[in-house]
Amino acid sequence: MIDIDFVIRSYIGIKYRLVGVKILNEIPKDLSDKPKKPMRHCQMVWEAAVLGKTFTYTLEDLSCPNAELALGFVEPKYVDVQPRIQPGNTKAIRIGPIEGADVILIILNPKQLMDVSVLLGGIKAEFKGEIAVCGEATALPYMTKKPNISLLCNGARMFADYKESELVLGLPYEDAVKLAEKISALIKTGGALCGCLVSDIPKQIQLSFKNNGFEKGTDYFFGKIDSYDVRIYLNKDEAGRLNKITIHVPIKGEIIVKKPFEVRKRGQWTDIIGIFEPEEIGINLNTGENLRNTVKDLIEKSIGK
Amino acid sequence: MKPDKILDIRGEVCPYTFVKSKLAIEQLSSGQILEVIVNHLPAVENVPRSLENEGHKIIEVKQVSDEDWHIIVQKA
Repeated sequence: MIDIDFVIRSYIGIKYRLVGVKILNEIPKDLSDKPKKPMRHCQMVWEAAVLGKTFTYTLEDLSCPNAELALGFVEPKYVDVQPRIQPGNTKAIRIGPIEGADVILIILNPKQLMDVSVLLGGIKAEFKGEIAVCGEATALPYMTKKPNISLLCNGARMFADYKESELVLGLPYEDAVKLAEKISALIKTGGALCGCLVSDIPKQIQLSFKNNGFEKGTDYFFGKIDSYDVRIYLNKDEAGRLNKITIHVPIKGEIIVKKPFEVRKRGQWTDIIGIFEPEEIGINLNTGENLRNTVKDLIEKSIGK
Repeated sequence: MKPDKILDIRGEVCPYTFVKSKLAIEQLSSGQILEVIVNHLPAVENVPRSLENEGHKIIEVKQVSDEDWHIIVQKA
């Protein structure tokens, strides 16, 4: 089972915990973690994210009339208000645990949201700045099964401690799992989004690639070694250290490669991809020593030249 | 029913709509009538419910134009 919280937070760099929200249509027997006094949904989400608290609450524990409507505890009486969970059968809500949640909430800043959006292939957002964490970030993803962004509302910013730079992303649980799986796959395969923008890589390493005839791409170095067009990604570990080098070479036509390289087909092209620890293959990233020769040897050995 | 006080909070959004309604009704005596004018749709739902939760009586909630709503409430 993938650790969604760990994978997403470590990759995107999110300091707060991911918060699961589970809509319950029956009041659970165990209400030991109900709030001590009525609170707002957005406050409980904030405390779960920042302090690691969990809450299971019912209507009587909720102090925000908008949230009562948005989360489906009550039906509107005079005029329809959206977004809201409908039909309104909600009897209790569990906040905190990710496993089994309906919606995952992530408190993040615009840069982090940009990174998530790229990974998700874009987010169509719908927000007004009212009925926000409860409606825009919780009820809307719950009802539509699609992610949504909330810029929060006055109540959330007034009663909880959200910073002005923070917003909330609501993801259906299934989307959060897919996001974490995508990140895991990218880390393993050294995909284009390996988490290491070239501009963030130390200048000395950039220089060593330059001295070896490589140019800078957005998140990789590229250059020619003999007849091969070579891309090199530098992968980061979970602590942000550059720990691996991914060599990526597109070759036209069918090709058989030897381990540790792997093959990915792309139309008429065959991408051969290999991930190595620089020290193990004798490359010094800071000086660039042995870079060209080692990469050339590895490619030629893998394709049997 | 003639209101004892009219509170026009068009342009205000939650939670200010409820806060201002609550402050206004606190200034009235028991049995007196407050008319609240709002144009923020969520307030049409949550102002009456919040005031009702505080024990006051909602006499009427009516739409008077495309955007405006009047909430008539009697102080407990």
